Amino acid sequence: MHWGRVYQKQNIVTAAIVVTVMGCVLIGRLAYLMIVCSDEYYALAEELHTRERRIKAARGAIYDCNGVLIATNRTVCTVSVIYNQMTDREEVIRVLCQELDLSEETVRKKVEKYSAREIIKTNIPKETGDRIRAYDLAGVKVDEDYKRYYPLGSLASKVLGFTGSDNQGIIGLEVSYESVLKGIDGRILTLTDAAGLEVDDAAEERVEPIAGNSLYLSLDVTIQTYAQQAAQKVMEKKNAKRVSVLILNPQNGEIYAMVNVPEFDLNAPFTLLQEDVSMTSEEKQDALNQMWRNHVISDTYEPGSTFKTITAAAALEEGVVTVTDSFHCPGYYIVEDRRIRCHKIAGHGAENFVQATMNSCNPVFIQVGLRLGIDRFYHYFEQFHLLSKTGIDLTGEAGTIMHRPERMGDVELATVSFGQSFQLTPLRLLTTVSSIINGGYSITPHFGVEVRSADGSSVHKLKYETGERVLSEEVSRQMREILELVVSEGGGIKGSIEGYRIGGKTATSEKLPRGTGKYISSFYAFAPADDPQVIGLITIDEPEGIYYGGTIAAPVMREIFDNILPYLGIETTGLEETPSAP
Amino acid sequence: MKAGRKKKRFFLPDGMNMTILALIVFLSAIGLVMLYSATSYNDFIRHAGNSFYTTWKQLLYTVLAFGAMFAVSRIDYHIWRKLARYLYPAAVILGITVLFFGKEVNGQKRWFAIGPLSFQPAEFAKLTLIVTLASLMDFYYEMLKYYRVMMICALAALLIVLPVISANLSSGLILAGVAFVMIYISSRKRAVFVCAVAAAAASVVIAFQTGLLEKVLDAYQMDRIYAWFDPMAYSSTNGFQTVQGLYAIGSGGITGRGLGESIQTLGYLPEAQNDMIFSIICEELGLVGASSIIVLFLMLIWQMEKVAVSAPDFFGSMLSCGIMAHVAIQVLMNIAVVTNTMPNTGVSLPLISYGGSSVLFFMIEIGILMNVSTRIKMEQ
Repeated sequence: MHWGRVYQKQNIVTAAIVVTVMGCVLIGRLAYLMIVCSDEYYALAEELHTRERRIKAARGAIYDCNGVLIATNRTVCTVSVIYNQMTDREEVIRVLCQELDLSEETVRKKVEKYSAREIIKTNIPKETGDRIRAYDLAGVKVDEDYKRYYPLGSLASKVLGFTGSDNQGIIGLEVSYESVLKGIDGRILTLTDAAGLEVDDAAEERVEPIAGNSLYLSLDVTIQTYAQQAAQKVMEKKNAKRVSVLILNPQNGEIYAMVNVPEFDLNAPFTLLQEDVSMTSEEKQDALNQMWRNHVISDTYEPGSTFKTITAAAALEEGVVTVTDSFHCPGYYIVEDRRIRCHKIAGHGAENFVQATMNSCNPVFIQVGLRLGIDRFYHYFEQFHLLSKTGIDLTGEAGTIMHRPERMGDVELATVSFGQSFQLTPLRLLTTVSSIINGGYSITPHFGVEVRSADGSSVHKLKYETGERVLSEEVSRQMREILELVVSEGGGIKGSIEGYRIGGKTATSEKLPRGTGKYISSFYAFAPADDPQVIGLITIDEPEGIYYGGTIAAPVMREIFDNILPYLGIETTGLEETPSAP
Repeated sequence: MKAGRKKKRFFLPDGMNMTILALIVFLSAIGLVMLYSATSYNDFIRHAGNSFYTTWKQLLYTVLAFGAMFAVSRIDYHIWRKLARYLYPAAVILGITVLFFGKEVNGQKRWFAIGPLSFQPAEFAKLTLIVTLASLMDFYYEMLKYYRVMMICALAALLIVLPVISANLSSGLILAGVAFVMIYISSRKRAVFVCAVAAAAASVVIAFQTGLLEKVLDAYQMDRIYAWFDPMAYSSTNGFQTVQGLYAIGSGGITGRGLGESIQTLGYLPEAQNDMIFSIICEELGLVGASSIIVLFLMLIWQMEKVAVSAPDFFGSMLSCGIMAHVAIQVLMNIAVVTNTMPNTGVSLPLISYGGSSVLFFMIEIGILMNVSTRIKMEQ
């Protein structure tokens, strides 16, 4: 049978050709997807298929100068359940309730929830975690984790700082040495199916974590403890708002102690000292920030008479005054139209410069300041680094608030001369005083001394800028002698300790606004006076009752020095040594 | 000798197109291997460690279907001209009744469930449509040049297509496509068909632009169109399957991850054994393997074209054309969906996707084509 017209056969061929063309278009489309877009889709698919589990790197430990551990990690556990893997839910609920001390309702809700992984409880002690693991329940996972732990609790809390949920530093040394302490997290990449189950025979990619480095501080736990106890005692006795103590080595800037009472518990940094439920979250955050604040470095104050050290050093260095120059104090001094009073209303009468310093006589220092003049005085501010930050290895250091020289008149100059009308931090003050009495060279106050790798294989000594001459050796010596007299016979006599040569200076600064009866009493002291190895500054904020620095601050520093000078191995001078046998 | 020859003729009748047989066997084998790869992981989890669960079922269907194909290839294809009279009304009635009495799967009544077996009237409709149209065209052979006859054929097709399309858009589109191709081939008026294609495309675009399409289509169908434009934006809803398919395709690259190395089958790609199996082929065998599969299908189309052109009579030729159109449309649509070249619609890949009735009816069609090819040799 012969059939078909030509066009019909042509149509069949046409149809087949159209199909072929379409097939080729689809191959082209495939080529586009599988060559051009391949990387993109491959990456997206990979992201979907693999589960990355981080292995936390252990954060580096912190040690004091004697190797006492002050910040470390504690292993804690997280207990979670995997719905699909549980075989005996009732048993799981029973065990978890019992071990974790949770209500059955809470546990049941989580155990019976259909999810890939449900966390039952975090931060449980390792022993509890080990006990739960020992039950060997299917579908119950106990993961170990690190949590920062401070064995000494509140000691140097505002200096050390603490870490957050991600083990990152939040304040203090934990922040400034973050990169040293942090370490590098490891990770495990596992192939999972869509339900999130790991595919058994798939290869696991594992990158081991690298533990953070250990940090060795100049901080001395013993000295810090003495200082903290002394500060706490005076704070309670004088019902003061707070008390700060800073003790460092004036020769190299190593800080032995930095106390800010009230301190807080580093193991519970989010617990306020006075818990108030009525606080809004914002108020609570403010209160926390206040509690964490390191006043020694972050808050400025008018230094008052302690600043006369700087005026005296500048004036002696510049030669506008000599130690034997005589002055007369009538109880006040008139600058332009202002009558500035001495703290001794009756006046000190006739006195030489040394006696004036021992008396902390304002009119004398006003005259000395005026002799220096604005430009020269300002030059010394800069030379003593008073206007810049100390460069301490802590974050949040406040700068000095000082008149600009072009805005400074004689009245301002006069008040600055005895430590008023400008502000600086206690740290700045003590750093500059250190460089005045240590022979006249600059130092950088610091805590960090050494960084060691976790296994101790590598040691890296930290370096700080030091040694720039800011004052002649001769004036430095004169200053030490004058300041020793201040303690042995002058206003700082309550800071003296028999058998030790101690230099120092007291101050009583009225807080702004004036006339509210709020004072900051302070005193700094160093020993031995002829070769200072240690210098300390105490500031008592808003003491009640007697507020004179020489009366309330000096005895505290005396008490501290009484303890730490023998501890530091500073020997008593043979001359004044009390005979051991009668 | 004589008995042996007879036996040989029973399974592989003289003149049977051996190339087609080889392609069918090869594609089915690839299909089973890929099916195992796509289902073993989930079967292992769902069927108590039996990773061969789906594959065994499909192997059984395939063996049955091959048996059916050999049987049908032994039957003189002219019998379908007589059967068309009964098959046609049966298909129309089944198509309508399934809308009311069918088993509901995923919100669509497309299936008849008889005991453990389920049966899709749409698959039956495809076979019936081809047979009916071929019979009609053969009947009106001398009058094919008239529009009247075209209209009769189109109307006959419409009665089958309409109920199916309302339950299952993709099967309806395949039916309409098959009818369109068959009427086109039988007719001389090519310009009309070119215009029809252009008009259809234009009206879809206009309907979409004016918002009319939203009224005609179901909400879920519109969502699929939106997901087609930007699958990533709908990656958690309607574009999910498409996006997962694209991940599989893209991560295959040129040479693929290797057989059995697909990760998307680990539950990421829904229906990986079904409509989306081609994306698993892409992931495991890469561009090289996937293109080869397409080329194999194109070779099959051209073999079918050869049968259609050299068929002993017009009826045989039109049967072959219909079968060729069916295979071609389904393959092209499936791959177009998988590669997001067209909106997502459920079309299985012949011989490779999982499915009992689909493979059975498909092999019956191949059997018919085989019988036509056998007759060519016998006539010569």
